[in-house]
Amino acid sequence: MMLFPCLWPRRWLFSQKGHLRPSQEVIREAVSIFTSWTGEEMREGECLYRATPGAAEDLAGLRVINLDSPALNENPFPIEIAFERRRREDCQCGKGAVYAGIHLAALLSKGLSARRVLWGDKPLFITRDYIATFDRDDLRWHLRYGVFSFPVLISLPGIIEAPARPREYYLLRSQGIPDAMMPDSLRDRYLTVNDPRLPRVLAGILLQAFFYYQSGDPFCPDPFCSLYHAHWQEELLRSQRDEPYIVCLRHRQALEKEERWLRG
Amino acid sequence: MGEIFAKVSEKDITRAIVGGFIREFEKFVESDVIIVGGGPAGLMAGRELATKGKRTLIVERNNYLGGGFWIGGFLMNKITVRHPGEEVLKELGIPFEQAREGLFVADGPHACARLIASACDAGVKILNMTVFEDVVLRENNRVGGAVVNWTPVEALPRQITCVDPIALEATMVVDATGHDASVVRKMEERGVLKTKGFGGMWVERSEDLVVEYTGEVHPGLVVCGMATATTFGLPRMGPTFGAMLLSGRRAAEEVLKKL
Repeated sequence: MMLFPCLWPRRWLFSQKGHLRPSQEVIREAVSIFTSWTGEEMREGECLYRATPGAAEDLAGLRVINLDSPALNENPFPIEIAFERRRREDCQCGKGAVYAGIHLAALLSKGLSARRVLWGDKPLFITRDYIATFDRDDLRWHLRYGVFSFPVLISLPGIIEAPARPREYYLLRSQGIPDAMMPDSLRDRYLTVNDPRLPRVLAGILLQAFFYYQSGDPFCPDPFCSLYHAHWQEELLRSQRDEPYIVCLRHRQALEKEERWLRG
Repeated sequence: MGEIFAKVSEKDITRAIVGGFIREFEKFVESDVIIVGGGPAGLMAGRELATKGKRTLIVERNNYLGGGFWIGGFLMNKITVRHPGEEVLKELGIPFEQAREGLFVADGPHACARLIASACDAGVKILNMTVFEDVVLRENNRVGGAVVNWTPVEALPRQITCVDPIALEATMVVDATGHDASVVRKMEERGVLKTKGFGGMWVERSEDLVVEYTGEVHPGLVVCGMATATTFGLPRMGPTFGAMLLSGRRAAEEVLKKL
């Protein structure tokens, strides 16, 4: 697989036990888990935002501004384009903007074409930005942890915020209880920015990307398989752990057929 | 036992109020900057500009200043800032505690009082109970000031009080009116620019965007604080104030570039 991380070595996102922890470290740990399962070789490319010609103007127009409208940010202000340009030049991703995932993948595929990256290279873009897709059933945008397309997009903050937290969390939140004051028993049921479970969860999402490129289907209906398409944090945490198994029998057999096996 | 207070008559008190107000007001009919909205972002911008010697007027529709800075979430008067917002608290002499890594908490009344005092000490002139009504437009629709009226007058039906407003001139105007984005919306009414509306989505890092997008949205008009979120359709954020303080500071920097 070809990994295009949206990273900057001096930028720090995750923290743990009082020490700042770079998102790069989370990705490295996740890649190490993933390769221990599949033996897949991972190559690293540059940031796709930088590699894509004219990305600043286009990115400004791909921002989701109204949750309930499919329309994107038409006629962006000069400040918005300047912000995208700054982000591209100084690698300032992850400021909180939400981008239309499918459109973003289409835009970044231009950067892949310019670098002659093909489907067989299994390009994977990991971003610190939020990505969303418009759901035609309820006619609103939803944050996503990943968009499975060419390239596959994975949003680091999306892993934490896109799958819904337990209902009790929103009940307490609506009563004005801040995140820091949530009871520990509840906090264990969803991911936070300093969560030690993140690398394992990301490794499972890398596995989903891998299966997407192999078979066109990244997901599995088995709620204990790492390929389960989780919509709730509890579902995500239940599927992204090594017990009772990493992947279900069907997907294990698929890996074994290709002479790959799970060593984790 | 003698009297405690000096003897002054009612007319002396009235003259002191009227004379004091008019002398100052006349100076600020033409300012370097008019900041519409006296919340944390507006006060911070005003403080920074006045510190640099710029004639700065804050127009506030309420009797009180500080907007929502008195109170945090759920009517509890503790305000929170995320790093690096605590550096501003330190600079303003506001006591705070670390709630957890990167999150700091201070007393709302103490923080707000300090911020107001700091802006006043720097030389900001405050016009409270004054509501923004319209923008003054110059050639090529450049913003050149604000049209204002007394809040009670504006609040009454036109049939009862047909009292014309007055216009104040300024080289730059800052919209710090919070979610209302009153100045930007007025520009939208005039067809000069278009806001994106207020985003309903909640994301953890939207504070960063408010600071990033703070700047000149139209010639002569800088937008800051939560008005930035309305103007650019940014996601909602939690009850933390770091972005308001830093956005105010960024607005002042942008204004200084233009003066």
